[in-house]
Amino acid sequence: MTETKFEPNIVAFVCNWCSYGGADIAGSMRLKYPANVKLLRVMCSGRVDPEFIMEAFRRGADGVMVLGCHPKDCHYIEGNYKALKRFNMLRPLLDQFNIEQDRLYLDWVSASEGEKFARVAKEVNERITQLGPLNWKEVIGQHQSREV
Amino acid sequence: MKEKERLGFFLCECSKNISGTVDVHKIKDELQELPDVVTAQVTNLYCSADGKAEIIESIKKNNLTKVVIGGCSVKQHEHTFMKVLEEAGLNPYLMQLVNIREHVAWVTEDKEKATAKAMALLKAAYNRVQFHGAFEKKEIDANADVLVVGGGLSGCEAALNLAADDRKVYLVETQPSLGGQATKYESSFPDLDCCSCMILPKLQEVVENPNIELLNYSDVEEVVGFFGNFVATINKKAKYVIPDKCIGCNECLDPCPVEVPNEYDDFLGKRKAIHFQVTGATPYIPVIDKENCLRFKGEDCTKCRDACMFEAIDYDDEDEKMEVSVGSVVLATGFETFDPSLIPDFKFSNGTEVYTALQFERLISNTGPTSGKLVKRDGSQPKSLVMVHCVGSRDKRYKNYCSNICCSVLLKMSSQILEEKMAEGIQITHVYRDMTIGSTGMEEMYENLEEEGVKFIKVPNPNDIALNSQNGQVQITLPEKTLNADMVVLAAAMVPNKKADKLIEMLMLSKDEEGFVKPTHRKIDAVSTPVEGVYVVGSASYPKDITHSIIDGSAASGKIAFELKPGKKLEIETLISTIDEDKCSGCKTCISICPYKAIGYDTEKGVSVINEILCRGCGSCVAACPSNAITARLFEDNTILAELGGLL
Repeated sequence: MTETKFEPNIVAFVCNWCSYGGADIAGSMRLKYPANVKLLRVMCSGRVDPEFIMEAFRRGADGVMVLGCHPKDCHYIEGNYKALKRFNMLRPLLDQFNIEQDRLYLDWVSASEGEKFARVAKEVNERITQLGPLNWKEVIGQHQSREV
Repeated sequence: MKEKERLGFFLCECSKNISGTVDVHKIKDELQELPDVVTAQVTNLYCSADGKAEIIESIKKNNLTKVVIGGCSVKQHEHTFMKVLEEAGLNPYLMQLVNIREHVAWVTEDKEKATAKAMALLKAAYNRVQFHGAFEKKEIDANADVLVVGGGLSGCEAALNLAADDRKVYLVETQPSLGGQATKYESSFPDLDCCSCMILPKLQEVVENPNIELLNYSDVEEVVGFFGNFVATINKKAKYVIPDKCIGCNECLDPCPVEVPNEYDDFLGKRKAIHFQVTGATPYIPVIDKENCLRFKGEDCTKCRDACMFEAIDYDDEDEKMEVSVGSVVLATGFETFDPSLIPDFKFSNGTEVYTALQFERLISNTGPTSGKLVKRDGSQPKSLVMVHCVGSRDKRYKNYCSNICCSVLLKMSSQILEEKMAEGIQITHVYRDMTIGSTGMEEMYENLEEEGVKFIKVPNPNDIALNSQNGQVQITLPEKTLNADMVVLAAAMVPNKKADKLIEMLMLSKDEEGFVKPTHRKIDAVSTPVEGVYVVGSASYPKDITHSIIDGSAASGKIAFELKPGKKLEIETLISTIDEDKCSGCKTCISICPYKAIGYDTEKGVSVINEILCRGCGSCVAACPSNAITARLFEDNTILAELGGLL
């Protein structure tokens, strides 16, 4: 059996107004970033329930990104600050689940920052690759899944 | 039992833009195998007329209930495909556009990986659309009338633009007359043009406009409701002068035995208990100030009534409350000036030869306490004048910001004094930190003043100088020298109008760190506020000159005219959040979270209630709700989690 290079599974929650647009610009500029960073659009980074992040880890994500508008730029005035508060609350708790804090990443990407989007995607991918697989899905099992 | 879904996938090649990197045909074959997928199709360009027709035909032929389109950004074509669904007779929300161009094909080198990623995104959309509900666009009845609070220039401009036969404007001004602070100025920068000549015709138009109900000398006591449907309670203060009878002849003023400091001259001159705000005030009808009138102190004085030839004085007048229904509110509550006595080393007090710029403006105004004569309190002409910039401004001990207009006002006053030869041989000296003069013509004025001998002394911070008044002279201690002057003028910062605080709170508006009303966005949405239907204009949001105040008034009226059309219903946001009353525990967490104050509390039921007119669907409350009682349309927990499952 040949050893294949570990490619992490990364979910990026992006807000509709800034970061989704930033990813669009990255595309328009044909900036390449790892295909294992996959976007999930929400209207506002403030919509990202910490539970979604935990669910992402539980369902096999090795890393989770939350990207919102820059401070003071939120389309919904202050949703990004709420995202920041929740991030600051959740991140230290990850230790208790044996999840390295670096697996969760929050940043601000504006609708013009294609370069930043691609850079951040690459950097986070690099970081998670070094951390290796999370395998939390196996650890925690299926029984705690929230029915959908 | 829920009927079986009939799903259709439409994969766009976007010429080679997508299919050059993503193997759409391979994806198509795989998707076709998924349960409930009736069709998976590939076309070169789905945004083209032919492409759109293909989708419509397929929806109809295959009786599709849900549609997933693999194509470009939602920013580019979500709207296009929503319309396509509508044309095919399907609710436009039963669709998901997956961005496999910008987010996959254009950013991925490896074709296999790109195809796998596109597949994951499409599967995620397949999962998510199962939860998509059909939402109908909703319209509500809306009142097109407008309440303008504040009769300064920005408020008057908004009122004039909006008043029409089918749109009534209620203009509330707390003072007896219109025009606000600008009426205190004799002339304005940069042209030294006469303020009254500019302003009074506009104010007169307001008074004469049949579609503006002018509620001067009145206060807004309460505002309830929301965009399209506000109800305001207004208290019309008793004026004791019947407007329809008074002709503004002035005869009642002289006989009045009461004299009090005149607040309109910033307490520089005196006025009677029955008084006009300024000579030439609009409307030109006096009011009796109840606080100071002898009658209201129990004395039987009837001197003003005796002097009135028109029986216009009515001592039995009473405050009157009225309710008005409007669709929109314009907040034009203006500014106050910073109190220089807060700077200890200035030893600022009335009675010395140190004046605020506004007091000084009154002093050199024809309608002011000295009828425009530049004289000291002892009646002599000043030989030297020092003007201090940035008083209370740009200093974190006081106000951190620049008030934008003070430098220009001081330069204007200097020009006015020299041009009109108000004081022979006067030496004017400016003590300043930076010359902040933006508008056209000001640089020229500054250069001319320098040529004419006005001195400009730059200091690190004018708030650090010391002023000492003695025998009608003022000693000014600067870092490197000491000046003596007959008069000193302080350009005190423009600060938020404290009297507007109650209203700001009632309208649930936020203030910035300096206390000004926060607009939705300082640059791109500077007259809107996060509370829909409420606009902020003029210096209520930050210090502005006449030009920008009037521009604000126009801007807000344009927005209102566009959004609230008389007789038209108001289309409200479809993708909002809703609360399940059975699950809500009434903890009110969501109420504190909502940036639009769209959530209220039903005390009877003990649950939070979202106002669907105010909600914009950001979903912040959904994430915060500890009972999972709130759902965001199309971004429900289940929908997002289903999508997440597809991605991973």
